[in-house]
Amino acid sequence: MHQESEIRYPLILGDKTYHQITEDVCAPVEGRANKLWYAAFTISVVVALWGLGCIMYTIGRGIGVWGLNTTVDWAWDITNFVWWVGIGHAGTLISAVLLLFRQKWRMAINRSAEAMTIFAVMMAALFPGIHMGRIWMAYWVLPLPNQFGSLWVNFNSPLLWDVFAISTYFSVSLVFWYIGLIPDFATIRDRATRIIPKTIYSVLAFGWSGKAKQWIRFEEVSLVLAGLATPLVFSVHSIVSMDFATSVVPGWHTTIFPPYFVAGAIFSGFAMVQTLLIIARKVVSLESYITRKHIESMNIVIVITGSMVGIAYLTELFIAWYSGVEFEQYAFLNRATGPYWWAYAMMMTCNVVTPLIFFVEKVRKSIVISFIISIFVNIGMWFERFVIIVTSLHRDFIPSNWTMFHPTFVDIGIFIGTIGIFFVLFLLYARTFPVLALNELKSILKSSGDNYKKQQH
Amino acid sequence: MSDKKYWNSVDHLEEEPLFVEEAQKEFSEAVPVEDFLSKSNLSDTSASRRDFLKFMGFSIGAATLAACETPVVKSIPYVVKPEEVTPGVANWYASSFSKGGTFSSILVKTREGRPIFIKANDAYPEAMSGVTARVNASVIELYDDNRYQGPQKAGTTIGWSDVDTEISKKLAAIKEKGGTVKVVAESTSSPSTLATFAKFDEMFSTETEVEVYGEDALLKGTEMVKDSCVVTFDPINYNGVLSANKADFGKAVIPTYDFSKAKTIVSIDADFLGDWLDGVTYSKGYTQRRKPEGAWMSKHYQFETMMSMAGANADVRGAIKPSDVGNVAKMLHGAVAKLAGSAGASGSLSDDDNNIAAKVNDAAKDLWAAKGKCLVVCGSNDANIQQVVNGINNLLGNYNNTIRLERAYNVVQMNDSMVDLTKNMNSGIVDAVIFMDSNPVYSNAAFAAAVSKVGLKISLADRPDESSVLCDYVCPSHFFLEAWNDYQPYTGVFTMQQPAIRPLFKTRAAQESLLRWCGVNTSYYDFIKETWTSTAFAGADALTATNKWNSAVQSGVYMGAKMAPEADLAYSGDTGAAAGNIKSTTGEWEVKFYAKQSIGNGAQANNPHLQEMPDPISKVSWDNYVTMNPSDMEGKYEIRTAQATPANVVSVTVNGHTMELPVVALPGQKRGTIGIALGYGRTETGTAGKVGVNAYPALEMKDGVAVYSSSKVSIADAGKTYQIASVQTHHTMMDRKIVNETTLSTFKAVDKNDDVNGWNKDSKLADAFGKVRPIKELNLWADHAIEKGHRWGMSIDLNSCTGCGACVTACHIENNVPVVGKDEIRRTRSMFWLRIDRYFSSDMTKEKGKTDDVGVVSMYKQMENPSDYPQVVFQPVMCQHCNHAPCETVCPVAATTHSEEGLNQMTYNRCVGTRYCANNCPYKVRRFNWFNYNKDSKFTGINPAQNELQRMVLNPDVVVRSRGVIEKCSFCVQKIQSGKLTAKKAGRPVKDGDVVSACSEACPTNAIQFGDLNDSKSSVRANFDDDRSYFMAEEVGTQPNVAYMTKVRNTENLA
Repeated sequence: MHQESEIRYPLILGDKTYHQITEDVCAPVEGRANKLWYAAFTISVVVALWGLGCIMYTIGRGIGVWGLNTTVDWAWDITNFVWWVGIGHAGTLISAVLLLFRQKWRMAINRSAEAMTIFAVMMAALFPGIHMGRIWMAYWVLPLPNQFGSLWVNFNSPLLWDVFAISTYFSVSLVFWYIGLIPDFATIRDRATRIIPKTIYSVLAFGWSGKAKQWIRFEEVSLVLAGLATPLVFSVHSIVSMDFATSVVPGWHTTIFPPYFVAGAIFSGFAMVQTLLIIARKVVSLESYITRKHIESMNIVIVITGSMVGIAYLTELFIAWYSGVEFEQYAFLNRATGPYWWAYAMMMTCNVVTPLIFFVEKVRKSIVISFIISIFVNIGMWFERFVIIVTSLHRDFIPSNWTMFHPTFVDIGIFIGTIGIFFVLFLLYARTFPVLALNELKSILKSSGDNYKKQQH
Repeated sequence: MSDKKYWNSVDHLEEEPLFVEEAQKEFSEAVPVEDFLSKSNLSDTSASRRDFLKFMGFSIGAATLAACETPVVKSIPYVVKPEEVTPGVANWYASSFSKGGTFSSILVKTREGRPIFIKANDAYPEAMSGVTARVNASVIELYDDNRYQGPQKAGTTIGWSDVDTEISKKLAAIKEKGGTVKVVAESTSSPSTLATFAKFDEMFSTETEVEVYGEDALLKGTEMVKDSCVVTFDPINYNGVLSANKADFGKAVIPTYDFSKAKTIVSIDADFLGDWLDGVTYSKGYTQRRKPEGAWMSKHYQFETMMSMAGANADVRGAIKPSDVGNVAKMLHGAVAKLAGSAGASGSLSDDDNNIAAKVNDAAKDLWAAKGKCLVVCGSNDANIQQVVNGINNLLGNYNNTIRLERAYNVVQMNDSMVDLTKNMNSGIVDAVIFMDSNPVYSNAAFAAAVSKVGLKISLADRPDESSVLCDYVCPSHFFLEAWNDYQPYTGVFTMQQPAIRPLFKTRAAQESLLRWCGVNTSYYDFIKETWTSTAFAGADALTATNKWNSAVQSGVYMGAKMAPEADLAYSGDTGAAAGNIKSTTGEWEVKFYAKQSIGNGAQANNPHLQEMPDPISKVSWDNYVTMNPSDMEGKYEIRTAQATPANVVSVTVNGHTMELPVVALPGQKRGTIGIALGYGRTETGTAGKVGVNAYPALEMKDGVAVYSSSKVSIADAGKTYQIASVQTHHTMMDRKIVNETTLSTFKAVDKNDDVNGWNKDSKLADAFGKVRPIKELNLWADHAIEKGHRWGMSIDLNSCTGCGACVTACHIENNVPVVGKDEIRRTRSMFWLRIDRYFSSDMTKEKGKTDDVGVVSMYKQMENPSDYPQVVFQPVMCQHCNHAPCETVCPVAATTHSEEGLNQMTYNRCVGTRYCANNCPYKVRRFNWFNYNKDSKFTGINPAQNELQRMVLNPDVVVRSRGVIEKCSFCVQKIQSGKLTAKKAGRPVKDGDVVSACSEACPTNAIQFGDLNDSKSSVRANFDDDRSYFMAEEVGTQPNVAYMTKVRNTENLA
């Protein structure tokens, strides 16, 4: 059996037994929701409905109800899209890359991180759809055989690459998530007493019986999917970044974008996981499983990726100066000192400066500070995309076109609305799904469990 | 046909009787329809379950089908096709436009009987042939559903015969008692209209007793003088010039100014490229001599209060107060006289912060050097100032050279005193007033107050205005596209106005109404013919006269006898006396009233295309406002107005009339002065026209007519803000090579690629290996095969572009570009396929930033601010049809592609509206349909496509775009196709000039050239190969098919 040094921080606190893990994880699914959950759910539903209303209004009347204009043709729509896609990065990274690297601490967080990924990608995918002038023709971006003669999609367009990247990423993430869920669904199924839940979980459990053969296949499939998903972690955001990098707009046309975007995505993804799990561990009492150790590990990822993003920001500035291209130089100067300086300052502070305090060990072990910083990063990363998109567009080549972007209530409504929809989904998930990979956790109980570590003495 | 017979059964073959009987039945079994449908024995029916299902199925099917409404298209085919109308082929009719002091000989394009486009008539003398935005946009006014649809009495519909009977009776009663009838009419050059007036005068004019004095100033007795019924009234009059010429030459005429012969041009507050008199003709002559390649290039000095189009194009510009116009004229006279060795007038400026004194001296030197080949014009309405200007021109020997009095510009006539008329109205002397093409209630405050005193008020307006709504009778006239008329815009040059469509409503020519009321019952058409037979064709036999008439109608132009300079028009002015009479009172603030290129005097206010067309200088649409120098606004009012930074509202009191207007920064405006546009604030007109504030009531009356500046001005902050719709919110070029500019001396002396002073260096970049190569060679993509066949291109000469905007409206009308209204413009969402960018120069440049060491951030910040007295450049920008178009590569659905003829095509019905192309366009010329402009209630009353009637103006060759798709300039692809087709039908290759885009066609100064770049003989090819040509933002590697030609100013250095 795998042995782990006792100096290593235990990954499961408290004197947990296999049964207790099952009890702890199944409790939210089997028990009744508390008032807090209902309150959160109600607010989320209201916000989600408001967002849906704004979306319907947009589709009904036209994109004109947003604040876009002939100079700034993308703003909050694509900002939100990239932000959500970025958030959707942590899940797969945690479950796939960390799986390949045998990082055991991922087991406590991967389920929720993946759920978050799925929901975030759903939110992200919404925006390229609704930002289209004619959403009812959205299927034209798919390379479908058609009756329009030889009409085909334009394979040169990064937007088309996006379609492929996002849809692939979404399907693989979904499958990966579902495969991981099967043994846990089976546990819930076995414990279910009422007929309807039992039936539903039976279907979801896909006939899992816990045989050794099934476990072997489970492990193999997980590994294969992890192998498949790992490149996707890097490809999705690289491709999203190419929406900008392959254009001619100064401030977009940058070769550094793919790695910079991937780092940023992981950065924002971990921040969002942090935000969600710090709340979740309290709300569904999972402190024993999502420990300070987990939070610290994530903080380390945040500070590293944050620093990478910071370097990218500085590199951009340097290259703009070094390029000698006046449009490029002005684009970056304008970002920092132009009318949107506050957005740039916001981005710099939230993404580069504040995460640096995680270099202090005490700080990165502090749950409160971690939570605050994670919120900062979420905000900062939204502003990063806003800065890239809007400040590059609003003053590009021809000064007569220069203008400002002012969001309308619909812009704001849709963005807030997607957060509402996201939380509706996440809250439903928290009540119906095993929020921890309980069967996987059990595999490390005897090596990384608190009580077992003590027994080694 | 074969005789083969097919049989489908043995019974059939053998023709069994039973089979034959069965075959004749429609249904093989008995269908109990009758039983089932008859009410009487319904209960006895034996309809089977199957039958029931059949009936039900049928009923549901029938009901469903009946519920589906087939769209009803109300189109009526020609029963007998008119000979000249071929559906799909346009007919062109020669006609004339004369309104609000603007005259154009035009060609009207009609499709299936509907006029849809107006362009300049090429049969008209080339030097004067051109259209302005107001002319080409006027076509949509034909379909204004706000128009009167028939005669009205006190707001209710009445028949023509009834209205004629009633009016005739009333007029007869007035005549009976010796009362006065007045016709308030706009200036007209129409011989037949003048003949109509003469007829009317014969009938209704009164005589007044006038005291006659002898030469010894003693009363000799009295004399009866005929008092014409016609009161000429133009909202914007030119009595100053007319009176000065009357005093100096004995004839109140506007002369012909020939700018094409003037080597030095000095304009004192006359926007001769804009709204001053015959702006189009002057622009044409002026730009002819603004080409640096020519034998000589004119030098243009402009002294003015606000930045005008002429000022923007000037080589040297000085900002002066309105009260100093006379002083500048005197100073110039003095300086010229000094050079001539005589004593002249002298003057001094009340305020000179722009080096005026030196500039006036330079101007005088340049004028003197070009004696007889120069021109001084002045926009003042003070006859004394104009006399001084006449004196200058006389000193310089310009009469009979650049100024010709014998060929008068007749479109503008001496205005009669409105003060006298108003006095008579108030005292009850005037019994009836008839409004013809005039709206004095709107444009003259005193008249508006007095109009209720008149017993009988009749309007001949074609659509409601402030005067017509107060009238007892409205006898609507035709719109000019429905009516016959004739004009004599310049003495000896006659044009015809030919209807291009049958009157849409029950209207009648205004002249015909007048004739009818004085007992002449001919139609106006016959009347015109009569007039011509008795004048122009006098002496000719009937056949010759008919021939001449027909050819005049067909070409729209009839040239009278060539005139020799009139000897009796000798100069006899007294400059000294005139100069002595010039009174200039300065004020803390001074105001100049002006007319915008788009709205003019306000008669065409309800034209949404004109309202949306931005002012050439301020770039603001849909409003009038107070213009102010930014330095005067500093710290008090918002200078950089934009969507989130609305303009401040000021309360301006001029001559005791207070108006609340937003204040807009206008660099170039003389400090301490403001400008206010006339023609706004219409109240009795359609939705589009009711914008802005009426400034006419603030005008001061002098010698019975209005003057357009004042020193009695006070300004106070009204404590409010107001949203201004500006199409451009950034005003400087940030020292980029967007508009390339150089001076004449550099252009002549230095090679364009000179290492140090090269003024149009070829764009080169180092490739990955450090080798410096032309931009064109640095390619990611394979080249399009554009060297074979046609390759359409456009060249734009920035030296010829005056910024007038005629191309903008022409483009919009040709291509059905939606009008989107103020709120959308304010949100930077104009739909202009073609826009004119205007840049002001800034005090800060990169060079200055370096020498002054201000730091890069501060340098760029300062670059954003225009100079207080800047230079101005205009640049028409449309889709550049890049050969390596950034938009084409990014569209996910390939909705925008490159044609084999070099066009960047937009396939509207493939577009899904991701707007990625618009983002990736360096020129930002792609326009997105944010709303369904044709249906959305936000655009009702503004967008012509929403209205049943106005929709008729839409060009059937161009699709109206739906919501959610991108659109942009197509290089008028429909015209390219039709041009190619014409050539093909004629069996010849396409010639240069066969295909002309709408903007190029509309450009009065030929700044925009369109043609085939693969045609070595095309003018556009020659322009592309010219040293002056360059491409905008070429470094991006877009390889545009639109080339700009470097602007060359005739100055020592560029500010």
